[in-house]
Amino acid sequence: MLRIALKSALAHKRRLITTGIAIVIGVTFMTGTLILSDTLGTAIDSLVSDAYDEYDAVIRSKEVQTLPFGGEIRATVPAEIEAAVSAVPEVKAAAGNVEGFAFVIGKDGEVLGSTGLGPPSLAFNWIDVPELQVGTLSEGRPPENDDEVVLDFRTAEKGGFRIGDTVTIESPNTGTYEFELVGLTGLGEAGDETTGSTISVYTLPTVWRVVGQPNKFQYISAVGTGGASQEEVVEAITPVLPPDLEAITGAAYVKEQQELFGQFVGLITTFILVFGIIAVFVGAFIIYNSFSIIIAQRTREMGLLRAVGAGRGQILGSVVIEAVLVGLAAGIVGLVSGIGIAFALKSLMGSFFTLPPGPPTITPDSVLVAILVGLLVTVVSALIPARRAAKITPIAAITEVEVDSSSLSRGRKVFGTALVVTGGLSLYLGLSDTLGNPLTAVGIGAACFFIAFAVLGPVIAAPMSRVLGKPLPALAGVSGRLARENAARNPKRTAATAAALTIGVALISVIAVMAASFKADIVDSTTNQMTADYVVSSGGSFFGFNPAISEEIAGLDSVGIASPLRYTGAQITTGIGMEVPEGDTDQPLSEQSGEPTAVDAPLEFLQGIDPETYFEVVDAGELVGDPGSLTDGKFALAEARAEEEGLEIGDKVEFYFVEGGRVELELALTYSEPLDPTTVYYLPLSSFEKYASPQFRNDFALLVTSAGGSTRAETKADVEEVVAVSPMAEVKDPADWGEEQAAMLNGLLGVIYLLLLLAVGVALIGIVNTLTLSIFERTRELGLLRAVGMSRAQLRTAVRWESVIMAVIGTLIGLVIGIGLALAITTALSLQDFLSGPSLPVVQLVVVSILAGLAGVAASIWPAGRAARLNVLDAIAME
Amino acid sequence: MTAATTAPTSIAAQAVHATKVYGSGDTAVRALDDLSAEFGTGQYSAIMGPSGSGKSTLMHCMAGLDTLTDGQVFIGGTDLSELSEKELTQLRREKVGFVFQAFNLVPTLDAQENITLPMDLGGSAYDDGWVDTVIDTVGLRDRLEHRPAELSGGQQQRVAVARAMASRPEIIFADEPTGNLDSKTGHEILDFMRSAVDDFGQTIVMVTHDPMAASYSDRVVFLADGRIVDEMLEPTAERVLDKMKQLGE
Ligand SMILES: Nc1ncnc2c1ncn2[C@@H]1O[C@H](COP(=O)(O)OP(=O)(O)OP(=O)(O)O)[C@@H](O)[C@H]1O
Ligand SMILES: [Mg+2]
Repeated sequence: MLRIALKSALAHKRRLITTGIAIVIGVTFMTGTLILSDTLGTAIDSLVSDAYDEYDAVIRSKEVQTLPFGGEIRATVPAEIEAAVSAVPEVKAAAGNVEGFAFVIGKDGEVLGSTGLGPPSLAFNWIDVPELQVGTLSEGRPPENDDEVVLDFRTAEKGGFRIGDTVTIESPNTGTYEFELVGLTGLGEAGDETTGSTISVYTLPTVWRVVGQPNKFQYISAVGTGGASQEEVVEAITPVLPPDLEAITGAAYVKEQQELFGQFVGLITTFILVFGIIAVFVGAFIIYNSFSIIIAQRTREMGLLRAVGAGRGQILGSVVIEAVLVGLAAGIVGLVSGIGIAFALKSLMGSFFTLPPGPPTITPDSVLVAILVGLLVTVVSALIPARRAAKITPIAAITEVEVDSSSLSRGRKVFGTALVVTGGLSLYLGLSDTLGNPLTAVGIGAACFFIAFAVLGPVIAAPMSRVLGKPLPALAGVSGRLARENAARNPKRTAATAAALTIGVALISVIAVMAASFKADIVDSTTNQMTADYVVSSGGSFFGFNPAISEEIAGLDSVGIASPLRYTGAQITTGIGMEVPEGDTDQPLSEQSGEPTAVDAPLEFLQGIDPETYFEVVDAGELVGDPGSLTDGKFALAEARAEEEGLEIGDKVEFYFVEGGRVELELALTYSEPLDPTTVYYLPLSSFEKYASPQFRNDFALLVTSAGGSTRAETKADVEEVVAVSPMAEVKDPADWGEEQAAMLNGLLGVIYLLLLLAVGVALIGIVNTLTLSIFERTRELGLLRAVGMSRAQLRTAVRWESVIMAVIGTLIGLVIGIGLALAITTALSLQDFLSGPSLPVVQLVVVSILAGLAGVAASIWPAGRAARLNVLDAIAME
Repeated sequence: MTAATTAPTSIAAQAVHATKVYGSGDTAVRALDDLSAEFGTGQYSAIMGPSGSGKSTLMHCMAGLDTLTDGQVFIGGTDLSELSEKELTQLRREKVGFVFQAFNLVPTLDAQENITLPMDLGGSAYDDGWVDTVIDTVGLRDRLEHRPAELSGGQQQRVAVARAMASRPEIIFADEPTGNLDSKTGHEILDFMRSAVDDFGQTIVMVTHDPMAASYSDRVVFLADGRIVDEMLEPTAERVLDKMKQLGE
């Protein structure tokens, strides 16, 4: 039987190759991502360990807050600790390290480097102790005076700066400076490696001034005297530290830093991997469909095998062996092309930061994943068709078998309809707020609809083809009629082919509708709630601008109100005990029994406001309490949230700030309309100054109104003049500001769409595959058509329209499911006050539909060409 | 081959020194070997011969479905070897009708649509009266909206013949049109083709292995090894059978 299976696989190798491609794409993408992630991981590990390899101990605060998307914020260390650590006999030298944010401004006045999600712009102090220097000076000399700076070589190169040039530095906290460039630095032995961050290095007093945090270090690094081990150095240092500080070994620090970077790489990898998995899932549909078709076409042959004595198990086995061959081949090809992709991506990444030369890191894990995914997905997808093959009776060899169109069983209809009803009910109950959590209900409803779609697909495929194909005979004559009928003749096949596309389109439309709803919400609330004339904004960056700019604007004669907005995060710790694990503090974070602060409470976003002016420029709806009472030690909260938490005016809530520690604040005011539904806790600026970490003490926006005697234009001109000094701030109309906030989503959306296109691409291969197999099956019929006078062009037209019908069916169902789902989710979110309601991006959805139709045309090119090239005689001669 | 031939008023199709070689070298097969033949307008010709003698090959080449290795084929004065692919398609649509042994119909189209298929493909307006006449003659009026799967084998072949006639082609080629049918149904089809010739002046060339079927024709051409070895006018089943025996089939 193995021999028969091998022969059959060889005989159908073309068909199997196109089938395999569907899986290859997903596998390629997955392995490419894994290999790239390993490569980045290795590179980062070696960069990090090179940078800190001579640290024997690191002294730092125990107060730490982990951020939702990896990374952490840690409290600072007072400067005097440096001397205390240096005085420990086991310590040869100790150095305080400042790490703040400062942007390097290019010669064109724009910020070099990223102000958003990209690698950060960091300000460091120059460290004299050679063992404790993080980077290596590659050119020039260290900064010696307070007007000198050293930049990383990549930034200097990008900005066109040479030693002796004047460099402008913008601190989000303290303003704009000019320095003379005296040296270049970088990581690695020769100072020619980089992680992509923008680095500026100053003398200690200067960096304190720039960062605006004098006499504070992020951490203190220490190198021991020759004889002492890292553990001994740590043990010797610990007694001189106050209780809120800790000492860990250099090795532990390196490991921890590697993990922090690793988390970030892991996050990106997981994000991309998800799309690879979606593509593989779509590929599984195609494998299933292709094997179904191939088996339907071989019914006679298999009947014959059964007639001459092959058992059911042998037939099943022969199909499974074919699937194993395809799966293995797909896994191997996917692995190879995945490595290729990793190579390409590596060189792309190499333009952002230094990667070691040589091939990407290929771990046995990636190899295993590639082969296993290819193999398992293919074999599992082929199982149902294989079982169907095993059921073929010997009589099938003699009887003329009509191609399987038995997909419209009553059971299928009943089950499908039941699912639709259940899903609808669940959605209705969830959204009419009778159940507890609307999102759970929406989840159940969505699952029901997805399964119902899979079950009912074959039932609706034929009628849909006929309805969609209605205009075709008028448009394309006989070709159109044939296209319509061909799309309708194997409903199961058409449904499965369309389903692959449905998945991608549904995901795209869910994302599109959700994004549009969020954007509309942001734009609506900013335009409807803001009564300010202008907004000074930090231009969609993740950083604010220097508060001195706000003060200067507030002082202008033409300005009436100038109300700043700031943002930070804190955890609500009311009722949560504080357990700092004692002892083993030189263990890396992840290996300790708990987080140092033992605060697992979720991070809340806090908005810092000026209570005197905020409610005059923002309509926050109904206020309970007096804005004037929102003094230091008090906070305001959205009414809905207060209700949910069971809080009333006068109640106390404990907040945990990294720098400010645990503080109890009193609820003094509730309001009904938050400006941003995700940020509902408002803190007066007086408290904000006290508790928020210094890097958050900058203004994200300043809401400005004109003074009585001035026109809006005058005010704008005056404000613009002040703002001109900073590349971080811009003057906007409130509506534009909303658009700008909403636009922050665009980059991420673009990436998601691009990655989802992968799934759509795989689905198109599915269409190509189905068409090719169908054309093969219809060879005789196509020959006949050609014999009675159908031209090649007419044949191509017929195939093209058939393809378009399948693509449009897939797209339409995808749109319906996607939009429906997104409407349900957004409605559920608005029930929970996260959103004001759904909003449909009509243009985008229309574009998606048109593109899908065109994709159908594209998918038909190859099969149509094949059909047209068919030799009439061969077709006629075929049995 | 200058033997007694009824002088047809004109020639509908003609093969001149037609040679068709399949493959090359040792495995080359001469399916047609310098064969010349004429098929007169309004004549019902039958082609007979042993299996592998080149009957189908001759039909395919004459109908513009295949090309000759050497020699020429004319349909109503047009040299097929000079036609482009497009012109050949046009010719198949308008000037030639074809009936195969089986699989003659497009399964997704109903009987009516199958009959008018060549004209629909051409996009030209067609003679409704004539189509009606054809449909009535084959007796399919009450089956027009049925798909091939819902028709019997004989009905399917009748639809195929109706399709071949509907566009009023200059010539119809039928390759064993009754080969798959029982004799009664076969006779119905043959009767129908006979009447197409008699009543409408249709030209038909038919390949058959069945002397009974051959007896419906005006003239039988006998092929062997790609050459015409004999022919017979006004054949009867007995005479054809005798001839076949004589030719050693
Ligand atoms: N595509 C082909 N390739 C190679 N040889 C072929 C091809 N088609 C036909 N032949 C050969 O050409 C010769 C004539 O074939 P043809 O089909 O014309 O015979 P036929 O008279 O129609 O036979 P039958 O009565 O069995 O239908 C045969 O020897 C056949 O093997
Ligand atoms: Mg033949």
